[in-house]
Amino acid sequence: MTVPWAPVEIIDSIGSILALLLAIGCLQQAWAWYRVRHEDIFRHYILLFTLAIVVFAVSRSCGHLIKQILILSGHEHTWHILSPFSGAINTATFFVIFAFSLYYQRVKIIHTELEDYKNNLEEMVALRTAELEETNFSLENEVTERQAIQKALETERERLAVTLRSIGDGVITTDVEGRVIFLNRISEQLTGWTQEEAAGHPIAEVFNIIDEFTRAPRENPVPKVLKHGQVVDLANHTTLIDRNGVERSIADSGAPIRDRESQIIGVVLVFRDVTETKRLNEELNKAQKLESVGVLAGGIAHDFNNILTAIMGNLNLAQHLMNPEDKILPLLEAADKASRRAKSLTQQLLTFAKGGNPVKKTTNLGQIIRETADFVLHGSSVLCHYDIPSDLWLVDLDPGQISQVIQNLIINARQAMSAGGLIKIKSENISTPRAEIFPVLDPKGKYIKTTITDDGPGIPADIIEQIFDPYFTTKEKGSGLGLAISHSIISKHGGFIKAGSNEDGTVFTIYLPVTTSELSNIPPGITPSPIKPAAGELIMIMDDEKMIRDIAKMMLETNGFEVITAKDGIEAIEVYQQYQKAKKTISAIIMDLTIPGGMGGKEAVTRILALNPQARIIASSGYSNDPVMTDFHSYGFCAAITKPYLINDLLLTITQALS
Amino acid sequence: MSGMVYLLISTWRERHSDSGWPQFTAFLIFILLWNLLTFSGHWLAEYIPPSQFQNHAGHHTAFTIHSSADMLFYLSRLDHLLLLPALYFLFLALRKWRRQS
Repeated sequence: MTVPWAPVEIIDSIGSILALLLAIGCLQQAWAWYRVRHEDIFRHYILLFTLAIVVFAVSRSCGHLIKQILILSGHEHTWHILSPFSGAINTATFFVIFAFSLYYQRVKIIHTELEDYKNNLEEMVALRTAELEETNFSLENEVTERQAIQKALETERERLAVTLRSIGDGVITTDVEGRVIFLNRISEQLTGWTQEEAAGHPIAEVFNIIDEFTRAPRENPVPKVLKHGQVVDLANHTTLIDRNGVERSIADSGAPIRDRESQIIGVVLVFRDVTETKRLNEELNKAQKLESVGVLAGGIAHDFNNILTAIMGNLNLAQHLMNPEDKILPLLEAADKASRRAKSLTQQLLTFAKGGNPVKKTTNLGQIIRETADFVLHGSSVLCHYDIPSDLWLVDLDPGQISQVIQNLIINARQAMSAGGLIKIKSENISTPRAEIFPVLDPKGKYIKTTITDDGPGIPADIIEQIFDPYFTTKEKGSGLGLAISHSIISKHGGFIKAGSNEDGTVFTIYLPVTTSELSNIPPGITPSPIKPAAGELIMIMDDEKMIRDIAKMMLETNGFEVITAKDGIEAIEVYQQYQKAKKTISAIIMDLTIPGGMGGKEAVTRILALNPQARIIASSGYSNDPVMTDFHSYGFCAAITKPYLINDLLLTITQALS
Repeated sequence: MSGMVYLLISTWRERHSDSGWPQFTAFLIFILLWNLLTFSGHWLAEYIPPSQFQNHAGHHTAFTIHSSADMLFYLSRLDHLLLLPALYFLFLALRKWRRQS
């Protein structure tokens, strides 16, 4: 069978061309596919495999086309030369394809592993992402929680800082090296350091303490607290010196600051200014001491008064009974004068002890001033010039207390002029005091104005406002009570005292109200004589001291009275009842207020008034400041007489009681 | 040819059903058949005497077939009928893979 050869050549030529085109198409598709994921190793493999196929197809197609062209153009011989090369290229290309084929499985395995890894990686990433998200969520919660805690901590810290700064005591905290971390407001005031200035400084620099008495530096409590780890109290009498040198007495304690593990992380000092407290305690101690002395003085004065009453009574009675020309009389007068001085001293002692209300009686102030000033200045190099008019109005005053005021002022003046000098005392009647200067005085009232002027160095202006304060003194051994008592006495007399001073000396000015009764009828400067009561009146003397009963009885009997005596209130009541039953009238009873171990006048007066509301009872006591003495009417008495008393005092009081 | 067989077995074992793989398998089958055919053609060419070719002006015009081997030789000269489908299936496979991605 013979078959045509033309179909072979046609199919070969057209097939070569189509194969060339398809090869190019394959290469394009492979390349495009590869570009989508160039990291994909399998795509890379297919690309290379396709490239090998394409190279083969191109080589073979080109070879066949060249063959057809050469044969058709009569160059078959040339094709026979080229043919082995074309076949070799095709064979080589196919070897490459073969090699690629063998590597398919390996590439596929690698590809699969990579894909698996990639898939696993995504899962791992997803898992890890989920874990991270969960962790992130937890962290966010934790951060939120931490922020809340931090905010609460800051709030707490602020509250703590505000609390510490508001505490009334000084608070200082340090670190373990003793360097200041914190000062509160009080600490800033007491140390003179601000928080900013003190932070980081050693505690000893900021908290500078010394011994109050020895002035030696005190051991700082911070190192001690750090060493022992316990609360440490500061020793007594510690003085803190602030940055400006101001000293304050302080009391304090130091305590360790510990963390959760009980490790010491610092020290806190708490201290307070006890300067004022200490001063008050000292004043309290002084007051208690004075009170004790006062009780003692009062007791002595009471007994001394009773003795003095007997002495003065006897002297006074002796003077009355003696012939005026008797040579003994001046001696008795001297003794009487000394006794009066003793009486005055007793009254001062009682006033000092109790500081009570004055027992006033109408008196010539000028006479008291002269007697007191002369007595104080006796024997000194200080002279006294008096300018006291003879028509000076009388004053209702307690002679003992006013004498004490004058004495205090004269003693101060004398001490201010230790090298000698001159004191000027001037008294004058004042009808219209200058109310703008002395607002406490009645502008329509009548006063005696007394000025006591010395030519000493004067009182410094910065302390003149304090001189009337209790316990204020510029003297080393002064009690600080003299001017305070003087001020109190003058005030209780309804008067006023003030001080003025300059380089030429000091001036004390005293205003005392004049008496409101019989101002014009009583001759100035003369103590009124008592109206002698009718003789034969029956008077009862009740006193626990026999010598007082005896002298009082003698005084009264000498002046025509009948006298009965009783040693206490019980006996007085019994005697009074007996006389009532016997229809005998006791005109007046003089009762001692204080009867040790028995009924005193204060109780007995109510019992006797119960028996006879019209009874005239006179209170008698050495305690001129006793409330009963100053307000005797409220207790049922009609008069009061202070022991020791003289004949005239006794007669005048009885006259007042019977009138 | 052995490479193609290896590839064919490998892809057959993997049992790919994704789009593109059937076309790639077809490519392998056609290229394998093409290999067999061209190998046979080249081998038979050594035994074909020139007398079996009729020539005119130096060109083959016809071929005389005396046996099945001659028939197989003649068919091997038409190998593009296998090569073109093979390349076409490769083209289809690549296109599907590209579109798929």
